[in-house]
Amino acid sequence: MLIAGVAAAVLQANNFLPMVPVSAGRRDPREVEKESEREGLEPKGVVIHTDYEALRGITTESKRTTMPQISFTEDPNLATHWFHILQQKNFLNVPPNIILNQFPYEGGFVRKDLLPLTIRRHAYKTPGDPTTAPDWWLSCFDLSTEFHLFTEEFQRIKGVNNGTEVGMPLLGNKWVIKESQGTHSQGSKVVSTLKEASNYISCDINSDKEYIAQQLVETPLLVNGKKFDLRVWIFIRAFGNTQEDFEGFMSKFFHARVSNKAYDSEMLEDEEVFLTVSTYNSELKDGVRYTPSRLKEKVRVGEERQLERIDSKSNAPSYNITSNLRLVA
Amino acid sequence: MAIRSLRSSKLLEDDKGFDFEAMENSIVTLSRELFRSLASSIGDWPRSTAYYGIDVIISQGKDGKYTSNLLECNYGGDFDSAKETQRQAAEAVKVKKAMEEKEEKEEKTFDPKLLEINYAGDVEQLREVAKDNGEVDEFLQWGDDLAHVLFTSESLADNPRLIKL
Repeated sequence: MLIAGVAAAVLQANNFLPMVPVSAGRRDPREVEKESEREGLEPKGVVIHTDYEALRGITTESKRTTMPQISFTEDPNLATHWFHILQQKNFLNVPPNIILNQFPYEGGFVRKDLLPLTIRRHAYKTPGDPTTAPDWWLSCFDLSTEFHLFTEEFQRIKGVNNGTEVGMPLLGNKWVIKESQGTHSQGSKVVSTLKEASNYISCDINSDKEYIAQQLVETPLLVNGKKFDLRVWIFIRAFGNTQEDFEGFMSKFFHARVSNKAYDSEMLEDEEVFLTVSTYNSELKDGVRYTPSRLKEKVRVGEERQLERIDSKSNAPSYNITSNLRLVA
Repeated sequence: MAIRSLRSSKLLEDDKGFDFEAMENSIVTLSRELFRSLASSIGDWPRSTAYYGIDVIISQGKDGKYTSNLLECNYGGDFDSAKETQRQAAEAVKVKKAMEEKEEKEEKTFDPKLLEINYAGDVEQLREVAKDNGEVDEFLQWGDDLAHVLFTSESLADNPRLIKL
């Protein structure tokens, strides 16, 4: 038996014996049945298998004739597209005829602790050289592995500020500590010393939470005197190998999230001043949120007026605006 | 309402109005640079399409960096003759003026900063915001546009709601 096995292996190695699976020729009847079903059911338009109910809503509620013909199926094998919120761990398990709404390796930029590495490698003009970082990038470090780099940058800024003439502007050296895997600003805290940072991330020795430190924007643009940030939507059809192959779009429909309390850089320990979204564990309500057209309206400058109630059903209060836009510079 | 900020900062109020388009353009530039550079971390993978929510905060001013940059205005050259000195000085004034104009222009430019990139989801949040602002139709249109990018290969060059990155 052993000899026969060795002989077969030698023959295979010499291409004398083709690699034929034992089960070849005997096909699983269920597979055959499914295949014929598929052939019979030529999909019309886009057939989606999803674990995200909200998607079903937006595609079926729309009465627009421009909407592509979309139907949903419970059987992933009958779909043309998978729209899965659950992370796809192994892309080899995705059948080749399926288009999935996730890219392999996208964790390299959607994870807060991996984003700095990806940016340094791919967005810096000279990879790894912080002086060639893009303008829109805030210094950011994974505190689990890069606390020393964070310390170095903190001390560098401190040194620059110490050498700055009195009366001249200083570089910002406040940092936001965030949970690496957190959402909704969970576990966020503003620190202005290294001691505060190290105390915060090591306060619970039993916790396996990991943190990042991101430089704080200390002079944000304000709406109605309050800090806001924007959630902007990017649709990617293809990343591609070359710049020509890249196909991505930014939707003009995004929204602004406004903090609950007026901005005050000395009051950043108050999360209603500093955060623009409520945390999961907080009982605080989200601040006001605006669509682009509303944001445009709200930040019209130098016009004193009473804002109308946004939605009679919502609890959003009315606001007196004396100066809708303030720039802290 | 008092706004305390950095030690040397001052409170400005823009009396020329809020230039929404300029802000939007600054975000487009950010998104374009960001996602085009991220493309090299993914490469060609024709079996996926996706959407992401990026969080952006708009910073105004660069904590006085402009001022310090302006002071670093050094020139090389040989000042042998008075004529040459005069020419150099005139050139220096010209360059300084151009730099000042640039500084002024840049100071008015919105300075968006990337906070994080979020994977898909959050459609419910956008729907809520649209509803609160009385723009459910715009939200459905957003869904329509999303479907066209992700599920079709149609050209979207003429779509006025999408900006090509």
